[in-house]
Amino acid sequence: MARILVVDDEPEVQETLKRRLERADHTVHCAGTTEAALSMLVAGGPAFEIVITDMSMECENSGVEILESALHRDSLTAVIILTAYGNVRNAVTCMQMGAYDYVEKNIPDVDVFDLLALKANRAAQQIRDRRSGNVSIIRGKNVA
Amino acid sequence: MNDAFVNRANLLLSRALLHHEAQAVIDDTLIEAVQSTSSLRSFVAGIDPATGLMEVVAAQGRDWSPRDKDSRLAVHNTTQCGITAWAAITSQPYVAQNVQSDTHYVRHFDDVMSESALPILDSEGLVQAVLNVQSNKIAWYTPERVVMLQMLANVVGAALVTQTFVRRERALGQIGLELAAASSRDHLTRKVLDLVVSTLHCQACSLFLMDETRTRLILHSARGSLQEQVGEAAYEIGEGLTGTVASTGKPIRLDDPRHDSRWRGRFSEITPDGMGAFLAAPVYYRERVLGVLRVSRPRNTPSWFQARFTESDERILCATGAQLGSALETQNAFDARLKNERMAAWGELSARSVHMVGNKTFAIKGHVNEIKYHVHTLPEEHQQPLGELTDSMEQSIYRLEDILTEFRDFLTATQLNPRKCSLNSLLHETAQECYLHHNNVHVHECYDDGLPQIVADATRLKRALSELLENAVSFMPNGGTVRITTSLGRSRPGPGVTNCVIAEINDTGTGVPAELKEQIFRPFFSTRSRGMGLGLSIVKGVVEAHGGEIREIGTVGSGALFQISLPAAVDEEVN
Repeated sequence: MARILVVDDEPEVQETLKRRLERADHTVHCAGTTEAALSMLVAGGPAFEIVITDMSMECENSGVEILESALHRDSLTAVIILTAYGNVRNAVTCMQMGAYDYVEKNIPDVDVFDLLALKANRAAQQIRDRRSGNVSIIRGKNVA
Repeated sequence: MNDAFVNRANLLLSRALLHHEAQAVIDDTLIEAVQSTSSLRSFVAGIDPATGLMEVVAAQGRDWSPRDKDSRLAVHNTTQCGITAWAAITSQPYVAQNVQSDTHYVRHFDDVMSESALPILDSEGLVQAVLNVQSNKIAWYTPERVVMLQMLANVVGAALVTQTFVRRERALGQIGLELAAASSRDHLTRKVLDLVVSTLHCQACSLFLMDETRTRLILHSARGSLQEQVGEAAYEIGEGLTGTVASTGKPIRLDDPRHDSRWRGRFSEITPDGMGAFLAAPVYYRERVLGVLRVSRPRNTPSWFQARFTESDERILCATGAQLGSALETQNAFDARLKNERMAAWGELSARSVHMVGNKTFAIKGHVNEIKYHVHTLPEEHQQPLGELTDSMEQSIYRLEDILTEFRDFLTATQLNPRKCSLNSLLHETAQECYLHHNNVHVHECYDDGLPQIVADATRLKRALSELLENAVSFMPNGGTVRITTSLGRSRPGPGVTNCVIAEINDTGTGVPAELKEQIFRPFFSTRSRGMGLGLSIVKGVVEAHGGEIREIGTVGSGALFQISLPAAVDEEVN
């Protein structure tokens, strides 16, 4: 389905996300640091279609750097920001910068893994539609 | 009067005023008095301002025994009190030209035939001492000699006044040093009381400090009979003389407080009947009164002597109050900073913990998701027991996440992103969202349309209001009514804040008992089984971070009534 980069400094989180998304037929690569993620984003080969990144790793706004780099490489990349904090200000900033979505890791009563798989599937579908010329609204700012 | 005498007297005066050698100057002046008037002996007796008793402070001439020099003179308002006491009582010079026929004279030395006593006045015109000169010749003290002695008495007066000033200056300096060096609030107040007692010559001194509510003065420390009531004796602000000093910020100095209409005599260092003089000064920092420092003197045995505090005493006590206020405020600021630093460290530690626990919980959530997937691929008979287990695990994780959310809200209650908004709209939106889920609860919304806007973090404030509404619903399991009203509050004192808006949320539940009205806002107070009991403490934190206040003012039986007041946006003030 889609090429996905998962960025999180917690190996267990990388592993569980990879497993869940692979189950949904995506190809999943993982990075444990901002630096590793940035080098994977600029590496040769096709761009990642979806990037799921933790917001706070080395610093509080690590996710923003990854978001910028991913969109710089391919403005169609769907970046989903993950956070352990319900920081609304961060969410608004990321959405304004062109993030595809913003998901809190610890929403009570919600299976976030299923939710992420759902969002990844939807994003992959939208990207495919857009590439094939079907009209689709992905997000505000980066879409003409 | 010859020039040589005048020169010597001048020299003594300059030593008294410029070189502060009080004791040496007094001794030399007495020698001068004996020599220049060819007298037998002379002495100076000072009046103790606290007791009114006279005490020999210096003596020169023949036949003085050490015991004489230490003696205290009995002072009675009778003819047989001795001419020294008589001069003190009358404030007039007294000359006994022939002691054998003098009605006031009391014999001490056998060789005395005539004797003079000259009162020495202080800067406020009160007798502070008496100069006494004795001769073995009858009618020895001619007007010229009396004038000479008066000059010398003035020198002694100058020496004594200067000595008092120097002592007080040193005491004030000492207080400043003690305040700077004091390691704790108790050490500080102990030192100050000791210095006040010694500087103002009083046995009793008390320090009352405002309590946290700033409505009462509580006895913090004392010298004298009130020591046993420390922590217990208390005045309302405005009550009695002490409470009046706190409410007005002005000192009170009275010669006989019992005749003052404000006098209550509730907590007195001296029995009310024995109370002579009273002096109290505010302990303050800038415009804010922090407490009251007070001293008193008993009414004295010599009936002629009026126990009193002087203007200079008042200035000293006021200066001490101001210095103490400044030191206490510094100590408070230091304590608050220490507490804030600790709180900040705890906050940081807690925030990191929440983050790490959140991440780990997220990973476990992923594992459970995976297990559930595998369970579904199993033969049906194996699915049920494993499915129950994974459901249970999932529920536990969700409760853990509830706790994390609550804890995170508590930690971030004061981190605001404020914008101008309407309290009415916030309340209406919150009410709509909340009561969609509760059919059996009626909501009456009654908003003041003319309400000024507020500056608030809409998201946080809505979450706080939502907590209050959910709280109301949870106390009405069989349904009921929630009344939400807003109104313009009365002006509040204080710089920058003049208007406030008020929101009230009133339910028809059981209400909050009086003894729990403050407790419900404390962290971990809960009567509900779910969550950590941080709910209302978060609400309070959010409201206070907005510069507002929240109180529960309902009565048991009429439901809970939460009242929130928030400052109006500044350019929206209604005049």
